[in-house]
Amino acid sequence: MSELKETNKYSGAEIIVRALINEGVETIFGYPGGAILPLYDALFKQNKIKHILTRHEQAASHSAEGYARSTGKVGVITVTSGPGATNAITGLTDAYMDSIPLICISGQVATTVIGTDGFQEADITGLTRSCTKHNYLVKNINDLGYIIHEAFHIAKTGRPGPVLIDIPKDIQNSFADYFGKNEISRPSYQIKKRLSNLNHDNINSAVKLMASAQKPIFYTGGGVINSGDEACQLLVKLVHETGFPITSTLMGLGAFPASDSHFIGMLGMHGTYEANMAMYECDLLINIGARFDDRVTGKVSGFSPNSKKIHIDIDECSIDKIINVDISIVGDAKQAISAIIEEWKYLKLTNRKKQISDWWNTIKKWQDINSLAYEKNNKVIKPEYAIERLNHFTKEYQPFVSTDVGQHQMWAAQYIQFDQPKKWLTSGGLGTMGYGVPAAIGAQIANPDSLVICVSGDASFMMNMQELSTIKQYNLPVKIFILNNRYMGMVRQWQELIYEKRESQSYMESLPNFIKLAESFGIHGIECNKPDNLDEKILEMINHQGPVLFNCEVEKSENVFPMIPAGSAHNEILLGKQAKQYVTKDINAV
Amino acid sequence: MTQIPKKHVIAVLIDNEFGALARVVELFSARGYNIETLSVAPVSSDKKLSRITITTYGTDKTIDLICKLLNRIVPVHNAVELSKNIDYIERELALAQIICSKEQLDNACEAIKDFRCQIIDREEDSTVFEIIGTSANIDNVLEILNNYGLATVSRTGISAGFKGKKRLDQI
Repeated sequence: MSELKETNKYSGAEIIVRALINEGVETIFGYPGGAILPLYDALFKQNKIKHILTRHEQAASHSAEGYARSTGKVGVITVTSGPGATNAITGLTDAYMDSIPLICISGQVATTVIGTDGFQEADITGLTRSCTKHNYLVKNINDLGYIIHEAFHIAKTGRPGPVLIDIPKDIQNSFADYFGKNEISRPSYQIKKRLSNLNHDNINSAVKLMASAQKPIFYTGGGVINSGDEACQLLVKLVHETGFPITSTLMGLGAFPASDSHFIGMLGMHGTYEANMAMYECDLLINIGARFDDRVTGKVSGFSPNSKKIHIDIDECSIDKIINVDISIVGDAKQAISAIIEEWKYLKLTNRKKQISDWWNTIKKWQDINSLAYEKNNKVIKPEYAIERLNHFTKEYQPFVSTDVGQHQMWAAQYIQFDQPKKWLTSGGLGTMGYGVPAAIGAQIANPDSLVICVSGDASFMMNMQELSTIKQYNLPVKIFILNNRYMGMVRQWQELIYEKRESQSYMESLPNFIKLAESFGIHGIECNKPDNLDEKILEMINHQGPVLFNCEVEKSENVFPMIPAGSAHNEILLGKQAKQYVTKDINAV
Repeated sequence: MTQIPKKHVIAVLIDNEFGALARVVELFSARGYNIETLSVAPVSSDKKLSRITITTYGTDKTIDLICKLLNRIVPVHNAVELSKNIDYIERELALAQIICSKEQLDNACEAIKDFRCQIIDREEDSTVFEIIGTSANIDNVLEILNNYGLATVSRTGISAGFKGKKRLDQI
């Protein structure tokens, strides 16, 4: 880094490193290869940025997501051209769906070779155009520094998202001036920012609706967490000022403390009975930072049929996309919530819990149904029980919990209580199996002294289990807790309920010996298949200083309930004991 | 809003850089929508800003969403559906080659004299007309020229804008 060329110019690779340092980047995740070697050489010569070598580029991208989600910072990955970059695409798409700020720097073949089917050449800007917020192919070394800073600006402002910068090898090797971090001057992007200035009339109309509602409910999502810790604190304040019940999406868990009495659980396909019934019966729905995902709405025509709807979102594209609303407020959650609280106070409104006591009583009746109850068993471990015990013993540490995708993900969402934002790392929009282990790596790197748990399933874990090697290399005390039922559990559940139990390709006839697998990576393995031993084994896992791979063998045929079958409305929610009555309504619903 | 597909005209102001047009076009193709006409050219004196005019068929709701998504694209300055407001103007230009005898050519010229057409190239029995007008008018002229040995057609797709003082960059 320090060696200055005769001309006082820096190589492209040095400019990248300097620009990353100027953006405050401390950690990057990546994997070297031919077209990115100049950058890796520049990384070798400096000591400000720590590079984490994953074992697969997909894992690098999920690790960066875990890092970003758990800190609120931008995650950075560096990959080589061709397969390096295409491997990262799943992570970029995942980040795009869940609004996570990422920068992906990909090497590219030299500008003179682009378009000639060169070795490890892929049109990565073309391939990622629809899964990034923006992307760049750097063709002129003089643009490089500015582009990196603009990319960071775009990734973290507005609705956050992934941005890819494709940098040909000859650009990394050529020389130019670098003037540091200058102001970002992109008129087309400034216009978008102007659009998200709050409309005060809409705030006023929203508060008036809130003041007269008899059956109101807050429905909040990941946008509140993305808006920052202050937004989450303001949300708590708003809920307490109004006395309204609140439910959260999968992505929003932790924005509002789960232990607060106003919280009525997660809503949606596997949400609680009370949350879904309240959504169906409410007369005012206040959506803050959620996007009416189909896993939340169920059948759109039957979604919250009798309510007025307020939608607060930073992305205008989310407004009226799926559900038409009465009042839309385009803007940042923190500013919007703050403005609503101010307006609430300005109009001298007070806590309405008493005025809406009928509504709270109704909700109480729904809560009494206890939709998360499950049959106890003292011979085999019920997966719900395993997660309950895990939550019981780890709650005091306020752990970071990542998950993969499937049944275990839903049980974790249902039975683990999140009282703080940024602790819950899950792939919500894209539903990416293989997300959990690398995301936990990213979270542990960012929070070295915290307890980080990856709740996984046997099938999901095996999609990125090579990362045990990364965990060992950096001695990360990640606890991987596998609910092992030898199935792709959620696939099997749908096959049971919708395809008359035809278990097509969802059973894993061969699984590794997880203890030996862990040992072969130099990691402590724990196995448990008896409910009586579970507590002791969980404590062993928590108390072990290093990483742990925990193989928890659970009931094979357990299903996740409650369940709103795809294509049904919230009031058609099924509880565990009703499963047998299930009849497919819409064969095309996914 | 109606869910029946109908014609929509969309105008976009966008930075003139590589990849920008692809970003716009992909929003349509990703939803299985065909772009009927597309015209694009730099419109600012420094050539840094281009204007795109698109006609497509789709439902109102999807086109509304596409317009919002267009505005979300980083290099896009403004994107507006002109046809949402019936007060918009459109013009298209076409080049039509006919191959026929001198006598037939005279008849053809007579038949299309009420339209804005002029001959811009002739070689032996080949004649090329430049036709300017709304897309409908161009359709009419081509229909007539079909009877006089119409051989090849090239159309620009429409250029369009608001009627009156309203400007795209001031929306």
